[in-house]
Amino acid sequence: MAIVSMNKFAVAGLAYLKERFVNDLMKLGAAEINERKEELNTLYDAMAYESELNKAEAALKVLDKFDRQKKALFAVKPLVDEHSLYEFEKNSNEVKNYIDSLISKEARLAEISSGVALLESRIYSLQPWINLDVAFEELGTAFVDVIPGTFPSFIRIEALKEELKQQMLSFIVTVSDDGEQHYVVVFSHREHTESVVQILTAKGFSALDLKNLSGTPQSIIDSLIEQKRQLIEEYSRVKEEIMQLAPNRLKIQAYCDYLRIAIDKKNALDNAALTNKAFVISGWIPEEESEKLKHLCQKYKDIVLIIKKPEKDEEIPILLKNNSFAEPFEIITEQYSMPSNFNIDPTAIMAPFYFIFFGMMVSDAGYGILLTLLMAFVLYKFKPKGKTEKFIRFLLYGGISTFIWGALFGGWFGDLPLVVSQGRHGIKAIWFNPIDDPIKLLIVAFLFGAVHIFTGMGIKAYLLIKEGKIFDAVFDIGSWYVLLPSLVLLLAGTTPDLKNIGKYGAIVSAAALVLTQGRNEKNIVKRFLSGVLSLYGVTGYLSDVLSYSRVLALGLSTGVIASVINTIGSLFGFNVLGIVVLILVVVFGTVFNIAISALGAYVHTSRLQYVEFFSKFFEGGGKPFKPFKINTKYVQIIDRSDLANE
Amino acid sequence: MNNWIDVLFNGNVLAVAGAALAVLMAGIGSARGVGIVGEASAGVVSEDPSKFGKVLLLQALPGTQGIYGLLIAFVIMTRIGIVGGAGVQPLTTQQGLLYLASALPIAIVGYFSAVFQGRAAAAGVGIVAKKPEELSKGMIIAALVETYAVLALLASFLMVSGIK
Repeated sequence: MAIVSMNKFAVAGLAYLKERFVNDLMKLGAAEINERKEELNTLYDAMAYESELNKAEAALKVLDKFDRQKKALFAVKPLVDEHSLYEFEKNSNEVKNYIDSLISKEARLAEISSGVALLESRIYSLQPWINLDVAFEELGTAFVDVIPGTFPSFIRIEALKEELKQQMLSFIVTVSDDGEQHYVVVFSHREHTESVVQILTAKGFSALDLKNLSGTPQSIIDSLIEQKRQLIEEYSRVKEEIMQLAPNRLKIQAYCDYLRIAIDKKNALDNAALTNKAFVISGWIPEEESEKLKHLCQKYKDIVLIIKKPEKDEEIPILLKNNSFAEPFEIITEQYSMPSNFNIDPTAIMAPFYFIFFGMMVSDAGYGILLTLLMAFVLYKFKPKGKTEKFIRFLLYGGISTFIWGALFGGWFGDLPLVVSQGRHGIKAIWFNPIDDPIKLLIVAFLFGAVHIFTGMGIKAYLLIKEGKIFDAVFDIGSWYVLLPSLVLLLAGTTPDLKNIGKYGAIVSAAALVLTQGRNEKNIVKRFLSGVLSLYGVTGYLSDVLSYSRVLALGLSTGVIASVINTIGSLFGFNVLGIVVLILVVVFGTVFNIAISALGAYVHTSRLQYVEFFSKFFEGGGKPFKPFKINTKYVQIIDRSDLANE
Repeated sequence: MNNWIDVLFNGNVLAVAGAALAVLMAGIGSARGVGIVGEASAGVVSEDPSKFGKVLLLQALPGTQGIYGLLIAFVIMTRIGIVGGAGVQPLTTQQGLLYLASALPIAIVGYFSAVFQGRAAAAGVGIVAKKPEELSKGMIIAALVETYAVLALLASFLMVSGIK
């Protein structure tokens, strides 16, 4: 129910054992290995493995691109036998072949695509010449040059033709015209060709490049189309080949994970201090796991293990452990920061508050049931692990709380029962309906908020007392504990007696604050002034409490959006069409509203925890505990050696 | 000649104007805010499409102000009987002005907080680009801006429900 206490360990052993030991340590998966601060050994260079891993991942991406698999939201990792994974150590040629061929095939596909694009542009550029039914190389006679080329469309080609006709040296025939350019053929006496071309060029003529062009335009285009067809055929052939490699996906994935494990091992070995004969690995292990490590080391003759408690002021890696109700809320704590090891794990205390506020902010029994059932289904069906599992359970609890508050406030898909029964039957709120009496809920929210804040201050007092600073706890927290409720009594007390209690309580506690809050100042005047100034803290507490009004606002917004949805849905009345519309609108609206309300509730409840609650006592900056263990991305490894051992 | 002035200061016209204002201002603000985040998000997604889900969460954040505006408009319309079975109730000019005034908090604060939340969330998209696991911090940063829209919503709601 708190921060797990850690032991330090150091293992020393003979060098020949180091690989085997690291293997075992990884399987144990319970210890964190210290990183060496000195320069790392380069004996166990993981670089080669890393580039291999990058290649394998790239190959998987190729597979993903062509062999689209539906990705399940919570995919279960396929099981792979440990032995088949370590087979890769001896023989990875097969899988490497798959990877290489996938990568080269993809490169070929890229080549083909650009080849096709090139052919298409050539076909496009020859298209205007298609009416020219002479082969390009056969243009011209003994005395006449025939030059195909283009004029920009703004040249008035008819005028030009007239002009040339008068000079009698040459003439132009238009082949086609696409609005951008005139495609023409120029006939010219060979003796004058040069000067004719010069004149025409000045007018915007550009001759077609005849290099690589042989045959009639039609035949060239035909052959280009044939080439393109072949390329496209090849494309689908290569694609087919890639698809044929798809069944090897699992093998490549297993190989990726094998490489990942290998890289982790190399890094662990790099972190070991080495001599020619011996090695030392040091790190952290949770107290309760220490026995397992001892057990492991006893198996080796040539390995010594030392376990000891950390020094008092030593920074230990932080691992949180909570009961099954509070556990999912660890993600909220971890998102803020790991607590420092001189602080406490606030998760267990925060969890009930989180539960309450989340539910109040969504507060619809129907939505609560839907959310709960959905998350329970996901848990049952997909059996997610680790963080995902925590997150799903977190939403599951949120759903339960939403249901409870929804029932209390009478929200069942907003006012759907009332709408469907056309105003005859509504489900009554067990407690009260916030839309009718928002002020009541506002006060409830403030009360919960005050309890929340006081709990936070209580934790601070506890921490101070634990440190032995009892006076600090009494004066810094105790005074406020008296002052704040006294002020409430003074301002809102209903009888003179209550007002009096409030008055004297406030005077005494305020005096205590004025007298004690400046105790760090040497100068007596300054001491008094900072004492007086500390009373200004009242505004801080006031704004903290007011911040809980968001609970009301978000709760109302869920309810009102739901009734907007129901109103829109019932616009068409209660005939057949109207009921179909109602169902459609309510289904889509409900999904939308649950999503937006749950997101809002998550964000704003987190804010209340972080800003209003944690700020009272929490000290973050702890380094999370990262055990050295088997980390896989795609597959789950079945370990057979354990069975053999026992 | 005085006809249009009478219409202008008709209580129902003022109340509907208030409802319209709430939807308009808060909605425009949200549209701008969501747009700002969307631009930043598209950049990140072009580099790494798998981050789409994460940036989408951030992009949704400045969208709530528009919803709050609609919400107040809806409450006003229900109260004056445009929506729901009760039928339109004639309002005095004073009542109409009260409805108009009570729409102002969510209209104005909604507009500005949506735009500024959009900027904060767009900066949060930068967090997702570099450290996707820190998404929730980006969300909290943006959510702090929303506090004031929530407060304005609350104020508007209490005002509307207080009008006799």
